[in-house]
Amino acid sequence: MQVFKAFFKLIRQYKIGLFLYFGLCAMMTILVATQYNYDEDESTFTNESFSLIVKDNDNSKLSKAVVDYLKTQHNVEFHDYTEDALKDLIYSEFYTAYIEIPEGFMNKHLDEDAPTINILYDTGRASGSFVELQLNSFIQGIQRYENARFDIDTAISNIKEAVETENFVELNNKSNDSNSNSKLYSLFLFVPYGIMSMVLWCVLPVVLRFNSKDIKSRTAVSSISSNKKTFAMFMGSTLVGIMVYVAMLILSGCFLKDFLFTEKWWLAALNLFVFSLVNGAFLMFLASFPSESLLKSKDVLVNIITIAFSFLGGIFVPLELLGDDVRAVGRFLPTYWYAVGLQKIEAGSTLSDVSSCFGMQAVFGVFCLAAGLAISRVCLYLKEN
Amino acid sequence: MANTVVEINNLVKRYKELIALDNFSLKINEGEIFGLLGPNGSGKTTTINCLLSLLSYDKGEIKLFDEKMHPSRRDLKSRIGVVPQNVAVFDELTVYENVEYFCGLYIKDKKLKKKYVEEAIEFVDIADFKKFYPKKLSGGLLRRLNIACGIAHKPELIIFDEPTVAVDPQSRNRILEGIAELNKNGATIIYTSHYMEEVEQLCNRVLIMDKGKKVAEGTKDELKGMIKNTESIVVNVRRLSEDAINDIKELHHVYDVKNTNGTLTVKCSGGKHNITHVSEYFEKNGIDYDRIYSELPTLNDVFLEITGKELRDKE
Amino acid sequence: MFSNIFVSRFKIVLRNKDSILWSLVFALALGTLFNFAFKSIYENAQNTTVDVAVVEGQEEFGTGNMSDFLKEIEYEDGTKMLNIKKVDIDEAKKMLDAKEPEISGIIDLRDMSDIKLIINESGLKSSILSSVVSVLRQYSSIIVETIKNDPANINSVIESFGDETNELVKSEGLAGNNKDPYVTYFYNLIAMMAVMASMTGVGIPESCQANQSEVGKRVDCSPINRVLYEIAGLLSAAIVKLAITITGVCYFIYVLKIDFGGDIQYVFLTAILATFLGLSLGFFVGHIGSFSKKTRENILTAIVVGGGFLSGLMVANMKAIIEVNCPFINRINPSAVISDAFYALNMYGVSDRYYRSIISIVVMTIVFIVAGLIMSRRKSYASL
Repeated sequence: MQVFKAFFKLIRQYKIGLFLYFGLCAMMTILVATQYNYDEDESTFTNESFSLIVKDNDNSKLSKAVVDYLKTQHNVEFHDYTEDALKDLIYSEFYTAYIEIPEGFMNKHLDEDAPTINILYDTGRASGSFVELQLNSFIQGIQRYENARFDIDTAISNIKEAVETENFVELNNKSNDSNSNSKLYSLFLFVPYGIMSMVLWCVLPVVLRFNSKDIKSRTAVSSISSNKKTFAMFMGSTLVGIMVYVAMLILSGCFLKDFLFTEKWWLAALNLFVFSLVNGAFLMFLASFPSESLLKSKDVLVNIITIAFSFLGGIFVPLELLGDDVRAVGRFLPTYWYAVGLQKIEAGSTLSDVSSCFGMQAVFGVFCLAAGLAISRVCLYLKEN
Repeated sequence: MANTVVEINNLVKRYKELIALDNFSLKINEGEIFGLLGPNGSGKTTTINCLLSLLSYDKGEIKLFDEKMHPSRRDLKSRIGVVPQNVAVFDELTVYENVEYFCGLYIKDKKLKKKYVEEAIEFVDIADFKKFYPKKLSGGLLRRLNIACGIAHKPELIIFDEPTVAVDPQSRNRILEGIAELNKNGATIIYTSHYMEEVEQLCNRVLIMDKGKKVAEGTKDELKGMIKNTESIVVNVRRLSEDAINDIKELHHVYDVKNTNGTLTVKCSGGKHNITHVSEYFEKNGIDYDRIYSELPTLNDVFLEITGKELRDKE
Repeated sequence: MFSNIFVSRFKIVLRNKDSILWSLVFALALGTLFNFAFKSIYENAQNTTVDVAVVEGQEEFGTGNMSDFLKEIEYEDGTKMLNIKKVDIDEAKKMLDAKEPEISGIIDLRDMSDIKLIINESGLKSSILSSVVSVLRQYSSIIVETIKNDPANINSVIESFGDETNELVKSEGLAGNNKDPYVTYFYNLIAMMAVMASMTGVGIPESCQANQSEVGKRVDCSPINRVLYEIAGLLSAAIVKLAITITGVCYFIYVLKIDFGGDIQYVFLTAILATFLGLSLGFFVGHIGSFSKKTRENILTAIVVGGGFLSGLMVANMKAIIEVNCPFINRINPSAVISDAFYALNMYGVSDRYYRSIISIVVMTIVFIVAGLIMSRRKSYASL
C-alpha cells in the first residue's frame, strides 16, 4: 500500500504533463472525429465516391447538368483555391480532382474549337482516372445523343438514365458488400494511440523513478518484497491507465451520441479496456530495463514505440491498406488485435466472436509481465555476480 | 588602511511576503577570510547570489572593488571566483576538461590557461584523476574538483559556499589548508559554513546573520565577548546530590549548572578563578571527582546563544 | 574563448551517447517501418488493368465492335484499362465465383438493349467497369431509340459513333517527380527528427542561466559574453544533430531507396536547415519564462508530437485538413513548414514555391535565435 500511495504522490508531480498530453490527445481525437467522412452502409452497388472541387464558369443548362451528375456520384465542393493550393490538396488526397467548366461551354460544345472542361488530378492514380472516365462518358454520351439528332434535354435525361447503376449492375455476393466504416469505428480506432502515449509519457517516468538505483536499493532493504512492490506499481499504472481510459471514453462519447450504450459501443469500450490493461503490462515490461538510460531517452523511445505500434497495428493506416508482410509483423502487437477486434465489432460480431482478439491482447500483456519479471531477475543476477 | 573589496549597504530582498534580506549591510576588506554564518534560511546564500548579481534585489547597494556591481559588469566578474554549494560541473567532461572549460571562461591566453588549469588541479590534489569523469569520483574528490573549477583563474575574491559538505575529514582538512593558502597568496575569501570549528580555524572576521539581518559581527574574540558565557568548567563526578548542585549554583560568577551522566557542566560569566572555586567546593565537601577542566567558549556557543537552539528548517 | 566553449560544448553533446543513439534509432527504425508499411500502398492505388469477362451475344448486333471498343480503352497515362476474356456466361460466373476470382466482373453483352454488369463487390475496379458499361449502354440506347423513332437514320447514327465526339475534357496531371503521397510520411519523419533536435537546443540556455542549473550559476558568474557562449553552444550542438539528420536522410535515400522527388543536394539542404530550425526552437523555448526543465521538455514534446500530428505524421491528409480549416497553423507549425519544403521540392522542383518554404524555415530559425538571444541578455533573477 505504501508503494501504491507513493506512486500516486509522484504522479501528482507530473500533473502538468498529464494535462498537457491529455489536451494534445484530445485535440488529435477531436480532429480525427470531426474530419473523417462516414459512409452509410450500402446493400446495393454504388460507384466509389470521392471529394471533388468544381468551378462552373458557364452556369448553363449543360454545365449544371454536369455538376448535378457529379453531385450524384461524388462529394462536390465549390472553393476558390490558387493553383498551387489545389495541387497541394489533390496531392495529399484531400480532394481527388479539380474540375473547371469554361465559360461558353454549352454554346460551343458541338463546335470543333469547343472549349474544354479542365480536370486536374494525379494521372497516376486510378481514383482520378475514374473520375475523368465518368465525366468523359457523361459528356460524350450527351454529344452522341446530340449527334444522333436528339435535343439537349432528351440527351441529358437519357444519359442520366444510362449511367444509373441500379439499372444494370448486379451484385454477385451482396453479403460481402460493406467496406465502409462508421464513426464509432474511426474514433475508437484512434483512441489507443492517445492512451498509449499518455500512459507512457506520464507514468513511465514515475515507475522508472521507483526503479532508479538509489530508490531501488532503499526499497530492497525495507520489509516490502520485490514482488509486492512490482504488483503495487502495476496496480498504480493500471489505475492511471483506467483513469485515462475513462477520460478518453467520455471524450469520444461526446462525438458518438448515436452509438452510446449500444451493443457495438459496449464491445468497443470493452476492447479498449482490455487494451488499457495490456498497455499497463507493457509499461511494466519497459520499466524492467535499467532506468537511468531509459529516463534520459524516454521522449524518443515513447515516440518510437507509440508511432511504430500504431502503424504496424493498423491504428494510423487501415489494416487492409497495409501489405501482408506488415500484417504478419503486426500480429505480434496488441494494437493489431485491438484493430482486428474493432473491425469485427464494426461488422456486427458478438462478444464470443471478438473474445479471441481480447485473448490475443491479453497474451501480449501476460508475456510483457513475464518478460519484465525475467529481465529484472537477470539484471539482479548480473548485479550480484 | 586595507581596501574594501565588498561593500553591501542596506540590502533588502523580498520573495513575495517573505523578507529574505532586511536592510543587510556588510563590509569586507582586502586580504580577509570573512566567515558568513547563520542557520538554514538566514539569508547567506541569498546574500551571495545578490553579491554576484544573480539575484535581483529590492533596495540597497552592492559595491565590489569600490565599484557598483550589476549583471553586465564583466570586468568585476572576471575578478571573482565562486565555489557553489552544490557541485556544478559537467558530467560529460573529464576532470581536466571541466577545469579547463571554466577557466577558459575567464582566461583567453591558451598557454596561460593551461598553466592555470594544471596549477589548480595540483592545488586541490586531483592530478591522479585528470581523466576521470565526475560520476566516477568520490564525494571528497568531487568537492575538490568543484573548488578547482572556481579558483583556476586566480581570482582576487573567492566565495566559498559551504565547500566541505559531505566530505571526509582528510579531504576537509586539505580543502581548509588550500583556502588558507589561497588567502596567503593574496585572495580575499568569503566563507560560509555550518561547521563552526572550520570558521573558527579559518576566518579572521565573522558575521552572524539570522532572518535576513546581521545579528553579530567581529573577530572571533569580539564575538565570544558578546555572549554571557565566558568559561565552562567540566567535572567528571560519579555521584552528586541535589544539594551539592544547588550549592555550586550559588558560587560567584556561576549562572548555570547541568549534571548529565556523571558530567557536571558549570557555566560561568566573568571571573578569573572559577575553576579554583569549584575544585575547592568539591574538596571542602569531600566529594570525589575524576577530572576537572575549563573550556573557553567556542564559536559554536556564540552561534547557538545568538541564534537560539530551535530548529530552523521547521519554519 | 569561443573555441574553448565550442569544443567543450561539442564534447558534451557528443558524449551524450543515449541521446545520439536513440535519435538514430528513431530515424532508422521508423524509416524502415514506413518503407515496409507503405511501399505497396501507392502501387496498389495506381492505374491498374482490370480483368473482366465479356459474354458476347450474336454478331449481327455488333457485339464484336463493342469488344473491340473495350480493348482499346486506356488511362490517361497510356495504361490499358481492361483485360478482356471472352467466355460464355457459365464459364464467366465460375471465374467470378472462385475463391480468389481472376476477374473483377462480367460484362454481359447478350442482350444489347440491356447490357449488364455482374460484380462481386463495390470498389474502384467495379466502379471503373460500371462507367465503361454505362458508355456501352449509351451506344446501345442510341441505336435502340433511333430504330424506334427514326429507323431510316440508323446508318448515319452508327457512322456518327465513328466520328467520335469532340475532346471536351482535358486532363492535367500533378507536376511532381514522385506523386506517391506516402512519401510525405518520410517528409514528416525528417521534420520530426529535426524538431526533436529542440531537445538538445533547450539545453544550451540551461547551461548558462543561473535559474536553470548549477552549472548555469557558475557560467552566469563568469565574465563570458552570453551571446558568444550561446552561439558556440548552438553551433556545436548543430554539428552533432546535423550528423544524425544526414545519416538518417542518407539511410532513406541510399538504403531504403526513397525517392524524395527533388535534387538530392536540395533534399540535404532542406534537412540541414530543418535541423537548425529544430535547434533554434529548443533554444527559444529554453529562454521563455521561468519554467522548470521538466515543463520545458513537456512543452517541446507537445510541439514535437502535436506538430507531427498536424503535419500529417499520423493521419496523412491532416496537413491538408488544417490548410483548409486553419492555414495559419501550417505557417507556424515547424513540422508543417519543413514537410512543406520537401513537398515543394518534389512537386515544383527548385522553384519560387520551394524558395518560399526555405525562406520560411530560415526566417523562423532567425526569429527563434534572435528572440532567444534577446531574452538571454545578462540579467538578475527574481529567484533561483
